[in-house]
Amino acid sequence: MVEWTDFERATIQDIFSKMDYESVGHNALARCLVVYPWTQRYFGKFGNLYNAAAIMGNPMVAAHGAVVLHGLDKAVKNMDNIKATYAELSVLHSEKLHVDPDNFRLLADCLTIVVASRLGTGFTADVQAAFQKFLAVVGSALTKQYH
Amino acid sequence: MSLTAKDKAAVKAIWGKIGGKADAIGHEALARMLVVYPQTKTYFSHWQDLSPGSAPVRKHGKTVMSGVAEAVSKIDDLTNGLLTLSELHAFQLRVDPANFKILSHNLLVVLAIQFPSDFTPEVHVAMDKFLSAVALALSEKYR
Repeated sequence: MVEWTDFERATIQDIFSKMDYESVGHNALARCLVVYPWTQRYFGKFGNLYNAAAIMGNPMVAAHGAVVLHGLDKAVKNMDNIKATYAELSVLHSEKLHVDPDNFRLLADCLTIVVASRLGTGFTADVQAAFQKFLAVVGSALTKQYH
Repeated sequence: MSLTAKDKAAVKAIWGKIGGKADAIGHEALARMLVVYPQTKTYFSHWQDLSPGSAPVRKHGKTVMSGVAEAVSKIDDLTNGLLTLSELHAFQLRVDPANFKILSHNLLVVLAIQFPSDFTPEVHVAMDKFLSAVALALSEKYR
C-alpha cells in the first residue's frame, strides 16, 4: 500500500485540477518522441515522425497525448488503490501493446519537465517530489501485470 | 548517441543564455536532487545543513556548474577534457555513476522552469545527450 502524506495528496489534486490535459499531454508525448526517439517504435501508424517539427505538429501525437493524460485521471481519483485501478491497463500495455516498462519512466520524466515549465517556480522541490512519486507509483502499477 | 554539430550548437546556445545564472541554476538543481532523491544525501553527511538555500548547497551547486562549464568548453573531446574530474570522482568521491543521471534530470527540470520557451524539445534532447556524454566522461576512470 502506498502511503501518501496530506501534502502529497493535496499537491497531486492541485496539479491535475489546474492542468490543461490536451496541451500537457500533447507536449509531453511529443517531447518523449523527440528526446527518446526509440519510443517511436510504438507509433508506426502515426505517420510523419521524421523530425521534431513533424512530431510536434502531428495530430495523432496530440490526440494520443491527451488520451494518456486522461488515463492518469484514474490514478488521481483513486490514489489509495492505484495498483488495482490499473490492472486492466497493465495487461493491455503488456499483452497487446508490448510496451517496455522503462518507457513509463521516460514519459514520466518528460511529463515532469512539461509540468515544471508550466508551473514555473510554483514547481518547488517538494511539489516535484510528490509529482515524481505519483508517476513512479503509476508506472509501477502499469508494470504489475507483466510476466 | 554521440553529439552532432547541431547538438553542440544547441548546448552552446542555451549555455550562452544561462550566463551569470549558472551558479543559481546549479544550486537549484542540487537542492532539488537532495529533496526529490533523498538517497543522494548520503554523499553529504559532512554538511551541517542540506536544506535548499543553505551555504554548503549553494557553494556546491556553484562547484558543480563550473564543472559543467568546463565540459561545455571541451565539448569536442569530453573524455580527455574531463580526465582530471573523472579521476576525482572515481578515486576520491566515488560517487555511484547512477547519480549522474539523477543530477542531470534535475538540471533539465531547472532549465525547463527558468527557460520555458527556450527549452524546446530539440534543446532538451541536445542537453540530455550532452549531460549523458559528460556523465560517461566522468565515469571513464572508474574501472
